[in-house]
Formats: sequence, C-alpha cells, structure tokens
Amino acid sequence: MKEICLPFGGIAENESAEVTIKAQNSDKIWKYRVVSFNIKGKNIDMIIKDLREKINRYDPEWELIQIFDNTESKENVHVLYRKKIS
Amino acid sequence: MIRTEELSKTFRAGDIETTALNRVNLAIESGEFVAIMGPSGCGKTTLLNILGMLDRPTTGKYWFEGLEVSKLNEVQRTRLRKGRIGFVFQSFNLIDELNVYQNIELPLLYMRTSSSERRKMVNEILDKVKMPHRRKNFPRQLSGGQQQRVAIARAVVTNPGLILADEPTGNLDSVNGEEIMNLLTQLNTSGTTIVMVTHSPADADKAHRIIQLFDGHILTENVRKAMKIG
Repeated sequence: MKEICLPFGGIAENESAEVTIKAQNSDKIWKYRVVSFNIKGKNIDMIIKDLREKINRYDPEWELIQIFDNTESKENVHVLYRKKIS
Repeated sequence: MIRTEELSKTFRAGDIETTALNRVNLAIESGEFVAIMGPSGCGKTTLLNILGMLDRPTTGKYWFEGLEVSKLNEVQRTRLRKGRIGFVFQSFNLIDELNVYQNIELPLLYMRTSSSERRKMVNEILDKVKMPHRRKNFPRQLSGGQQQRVAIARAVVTNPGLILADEPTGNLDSVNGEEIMNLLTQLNTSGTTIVMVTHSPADADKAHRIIQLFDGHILTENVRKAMKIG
C-alpha cells in the first residue's frame, strides 16, 4: 500500500490540517500537511501568480507533493506538503 | 531532447473555448525522468499527447531532438515519432486478438525490421520484462501487471530514446504498480528519457523532477534528485 485516504470534515480557507503517519515496528515517520488557499473571484492569472508565490515562500522544511482543486465550487485549492526527511 | 516555447492548446465546442495548455515553456534533457502532476483536467494528458506528436499545439513551438515539430506535416511527424518515442497508457492498449509476442512485435513490423532481427529483439525484451513464458498468451489471459509489462515491452522494443507514460500504474494494485515503476526506473537508468503523468506522489518520487500543472499552466518545477551523467 502506497497511499492512505482519510475522510475528515474538511478545512476552511487559509486553514491547514496535519497528519502524522508512523509505520508499526519501524522508526519511519511521515508528516503531511494540507493547506487550503482561497481562489474565489480571482482570474486564472491571479490564481497562478498567488499560488506560485505561496508555494515558493512556504516553509522550506516542507516539500510540495500534490495540488488538488475543488472542482465543484472552484473556491479553494488544497496543497499537500510533506515534511522533508533530514 | 525536448523544448517547448509558449505552447498553448485550446479546444472549441460550439461557442465555448477551453484552454487546456497556456503558454507552457518546458525543457527536458536526454536521460531525465520527469513526472507531471496536477489536478484532473489540468492539461497533463494534453501536454503528453503534444510531446508524443499525437496532437498539435494551437500556438507555440515544440522542438524534439532539435527539430521544430510544429512545422511538420502528419507524415513527417509519424516518421519522426516511429521508433523514437514509446507510449505506455493507463489502460495498456494491447491488441486483444494478438498474443504477447505479436503485440510486442507490432512496432517492428511497422518499421519493416527483418524477421530474424524481430525475433531477436522481441525475445530480448521478453526476457527483460520477465515474460518469456507468456509469449503465446493473449492479453485477456494476463493480470493487469503482466499486461502493463507487455505494453512497456512493446513501447521499448524499438529502443526509443523517449518513453511517454500516461498514469502507467493507474489501473494496478500497489505490488504490480511498484513492479512497473521499477521497470521504468531501470529503463531510465539505462539511458531512456521518461516523461510520466501521474496522480501518485509515490510514483512521482521516483522521478528526477516533478512538474506541477494547474489549469494549463506550469505552476512549479521541483528537482528531486540529481540525474546520473554518463
């Protein structure tokens, strides 16, 4: 198994959620964080510019993993980060 | 190997115009393993189809091995693609009526490779993907992982410099998916350039570089690991 899907209540704009995964019988720990960015009312060029800036300026200890958009409402973009393993 | 300049693609359905790719500038070096990620509908497959010359950009330029593809006609593009680019699809796209050996042999027939050379090349690649015992089986007699191994064998039998893979593990369980990713990594280590569309962060982790697309734009490019030179 490579991926775990966790149902939860959702996060509002500019909030984040963090998940820590520890493999049993192992010292390995992975930390994931989902950050929600509001894009409501912005045109695509603004969205791209904002997202690029936010991602580039984000805490360097965390690496970008995946971007998800809320295709139904087009109000929030969710960005998944993973804490870098030192 | 690959360079694009301000590449855009729009689709029109009646009065509605959809921009699938928007001014994409991209450079991929020979020997790289690049993963393309992003939400559904962000233009990943459109980009892969244009890079594979299966589709044309609406505007912008595309150079493949130094040649500007956007200026070529269909026949010239097919000639350029044949033998140089291998495709791997999520749904395998094997021909049901042909057995494993015949599926793998097909690109060599298109290239008019001699019969003895074809036999040698197909047998070599069957060994490489660990499927020689399945040569007479038809696709329906194989598991999903085995079918994808055959599809990869078919894609690489002509020794192409570039493999374009569209969600190659998307229809596979994690064990078979891991096998396919190991196979792609081995091909890359032996010099094949790989551009792979994926939704899987675990698969993308195998790449040297991850490109994140969003609404037809390249949002970020993230170098994960150094490429081995030579």
